Amino acid sequence: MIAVLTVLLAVEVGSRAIGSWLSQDVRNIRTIPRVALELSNSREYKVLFLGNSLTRVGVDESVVSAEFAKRGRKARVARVYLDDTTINTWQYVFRQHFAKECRPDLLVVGFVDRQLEDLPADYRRLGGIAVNLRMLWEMSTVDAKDLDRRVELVLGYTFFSFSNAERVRHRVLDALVPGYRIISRTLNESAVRHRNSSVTGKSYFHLLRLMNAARENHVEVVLAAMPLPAQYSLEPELNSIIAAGEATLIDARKVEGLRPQMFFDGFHLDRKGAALFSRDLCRLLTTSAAWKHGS
Amino acid sequence: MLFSSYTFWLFFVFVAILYRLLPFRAQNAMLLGASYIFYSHWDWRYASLILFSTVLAYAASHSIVRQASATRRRAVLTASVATHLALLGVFKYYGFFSGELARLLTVVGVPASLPILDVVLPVGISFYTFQTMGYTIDVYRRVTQPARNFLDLALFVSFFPLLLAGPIERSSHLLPQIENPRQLKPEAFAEGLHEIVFGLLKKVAIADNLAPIANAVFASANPTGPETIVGVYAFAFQIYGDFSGYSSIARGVALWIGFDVTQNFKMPYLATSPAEFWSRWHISLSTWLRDYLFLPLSFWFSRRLDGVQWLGLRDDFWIYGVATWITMLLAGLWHGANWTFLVWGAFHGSLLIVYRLPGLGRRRRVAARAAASMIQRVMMFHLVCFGWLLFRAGSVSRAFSMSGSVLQSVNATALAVSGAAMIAFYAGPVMVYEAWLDRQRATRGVAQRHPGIRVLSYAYCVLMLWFFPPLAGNEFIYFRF
Repeated sequence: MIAVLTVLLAVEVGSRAIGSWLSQDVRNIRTIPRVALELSNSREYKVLFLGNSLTRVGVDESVVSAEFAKRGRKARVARVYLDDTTINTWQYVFRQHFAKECRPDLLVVGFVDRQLEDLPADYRRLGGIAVNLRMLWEMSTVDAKDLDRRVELVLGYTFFSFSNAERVRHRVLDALVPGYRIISRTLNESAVRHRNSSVTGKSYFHLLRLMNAARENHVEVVLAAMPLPAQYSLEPELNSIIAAGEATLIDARKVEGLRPQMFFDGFHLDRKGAALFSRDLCRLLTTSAAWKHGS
Repeated sequence: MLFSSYTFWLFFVFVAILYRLLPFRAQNAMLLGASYIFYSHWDWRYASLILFSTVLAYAASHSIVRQASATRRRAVLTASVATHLALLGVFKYYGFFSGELARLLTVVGVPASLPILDVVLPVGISFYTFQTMGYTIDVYRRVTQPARNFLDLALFVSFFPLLLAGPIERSSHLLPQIENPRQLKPEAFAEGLHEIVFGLLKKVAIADNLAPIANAVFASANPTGPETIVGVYAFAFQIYGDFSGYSSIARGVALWIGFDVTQNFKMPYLATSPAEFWSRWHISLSTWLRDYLFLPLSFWFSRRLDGVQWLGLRDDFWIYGVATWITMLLAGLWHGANWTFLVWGAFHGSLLIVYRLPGLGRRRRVAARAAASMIQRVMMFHLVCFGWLLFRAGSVSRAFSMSGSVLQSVNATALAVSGAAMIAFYAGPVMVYEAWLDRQRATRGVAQRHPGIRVLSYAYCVLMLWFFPPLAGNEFIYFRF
C-alpha cells in the first residue's frame, strides 16, 4: 500500500514538474495570471479574447492588433484559451482573473454550436482551474450537484495529475494506438452525446454569470459565433438572453473567402484561414455597439 | 449507487465502521437497514418488492416444513415459485410477450389490443428472485432449514453487495454466515482489496473504455467485416470487465465485512469447451440453473426416454440434449425479453450439445497438449464472441447481417485498427495476468505471496484508474437484467 502511494506521489510530483514542458495547454493556463497582469498594466484599449482551442488557433493576435489600429484604435490584445472547454470554464477564468483589477475594456468570447449552454462539465479539469478554496467552494455548490462530482472537483484541485489525466490519456493512446486522433473524435463525440443526453432542457446560467460579472465591472462583452466547416444553428433565444445581459452577439460564422480546406482537421483553422477570420471578426467588432461604447 | 462511485464508498465506510462497533445481532440489523438504503437510492418504490419477496419466502419455507404430506409440500413450493416467476413475468416479460402475442394475432387475422404495462424494470429483480426461489427449493429438498429469524432471511435476500447484480448465493452458503457470529479473517482485508482493486480496474478502465468502441460499431448502419470483429471483441471484454468487475467488487466488499460469497468468474475466456466456459462464466447462475432446472429436467426426461435410441445416439445423449436446450433457452430469456437473448441461449445450448457428441469428447482428452489446448481456447473464445454478437446486436436479423459482413467486407478502417489497438491496450494486460494466474492454478494466493508482483499489479491498477477514466461512465450492463 505504501509502495503504491509512493508511486502515486512520484507521479504527482513528476507531472507538476514537467507538465508545462509536456503540454502547451498547461503552459497557456499557467500564463493566465501573467496575461492578466500585463493587460492591467497597459494604458491602451484592452481587448481580451477568451475561448478554447478554436480561439487559440483561429484568432491571430497580430492580425487583430493591426486591424484595430487600421480602424482608428490602438488596442492591447490578449488571448486566453483553454483547450476543450466551454462557457462554464470561461466564466470562472474571467471571474477569477479578469473581473476586477485586471479587467479588459472589451471581452470577446469565441464559441461554436452549444458552447454557450450549460453542459455537463469535466469536473476533474474544472477543479484544476480553481485558484483558491473560495472558488472551489463555489464550484462545489453551484456546479457539482452530487457527491461524486464534488469529490472529482476536490481531487482535481488537489492533484495536478488527476485534473490533467485526460492529457496523459491522449498522449499515451496517441503514441500507442494507430489512428487514435481520428478515432478519438468519433468516440469523444459519442461520449459527449451520451453525457449531454442527460441534459433535458437548455439553460444559460453560466453565460448569465459571465455577463453579470462583466457588467458589474464595466466590461463590454461580445459573444462571437465562430465558423466551422459544417453549418450549425444559433439558438433563437440566444439573442434575447445576450441582449438582456447587455452584451452583443456577433455572427462570424460565414467569412468571405473561407473554404472547408482551411480547416486542417475539420475544426481548426490554418494560418490562412485564421488571418481571414481575424480580419472579418475585427470588421464586425469595430462596427458593433460594444466597440462604440468603448470609445 | 454504483460500486464505481465515490458515493458508494462513502456509504461503505460508514457501514464498515458501524459494523466493527456493533455486536452480532445489531450488525445484522444494521446491514439490513443499509441494504434497503442502498437499494432505495436507486428507487425506493421497488424496495417493497424485495420485502414482498422476503415475506413470501419466509412464509412458504415455514409452511413447507409444517406440511405432513409431500403433495401439500409440493403445492406450497409451487405456489411460492409461481408467485416469484409471476413477479418477474410482470416486470420483465409482460411487454415482450404481449407485444409478440398481439403481433401473432394480427398475422392470423385476429386484431388484438392488449393492455400496455409501462413499468421500469426494477434493478436486481432477476437476481434476488432467483436467490429467494433457490432458498425455498432448498428448504423443500431439506438441504437447508428455514431461516429461524425473519430479519436474517431479509438480510439474505437484500444483502447489499449482492443485491443489484449477484452473485446469486445459495442459502446453504450465505444463510449460516448471517445466522452465526462472524470472525474477520486476517487475510480478508488483503483478499478483499485485491478483489476490489481489480474489480474497479475491470469495470472502469476496461469495460467503460471499450464501451464506446462497441457502441460505435453496433450503432453503425453498415460496419465492415474488421469493424464487426473489433466491435464484437470490444463488447466481449466490455461485458466481461463489467460483470466480473462488479462481482469482484461485491466479493471484496463482502469480505471486508466478514462474509465469504461465491466467486462468480474464473477466467472464462480461457475455456476450451462450452461446458468449461459455463463453469467459469457467471458461475452462480449456471450452477443455479444446473441444480434447479437442468438436473430436475434430466431426471424427468430420463424416466420418459429411458432406453430410447435415435440416429444412433443413446438415450443419455438425448436426455442431456433436451434438458440442456430448455435450460439454455431459459438462461437466455433470463437475460432479457428479446428474441436475441433466446437465440443466444439456443446457440449456447447447441454448442453444449454438439461438444457432447460421441467422439468429440475423446478428441478433447487427447488434445490436452499446450498447442492444441491454445487452439481450442481461441476457437472457444470466438464461438463465445459469435454468441455476444447475437446478444448485443439488438435484433436477430441485424446479428446475421453483421456476421455476414465479416465475410463480405474486409476494409480495415480507422475504427477497426484503432479499436483493435485500444482493446489490446486496455484488456491485454489483465488478460495476460489472469492467464498467468490460471497457469499457476491459483487466484489471489499467488499474488499475495509475491510482494513485487503485488506492488506492480496494484500500481498498474491505480495508475490506470487515475489516468484512464472513461470518457463517459456507463452503468453496469447486468443491471438491465
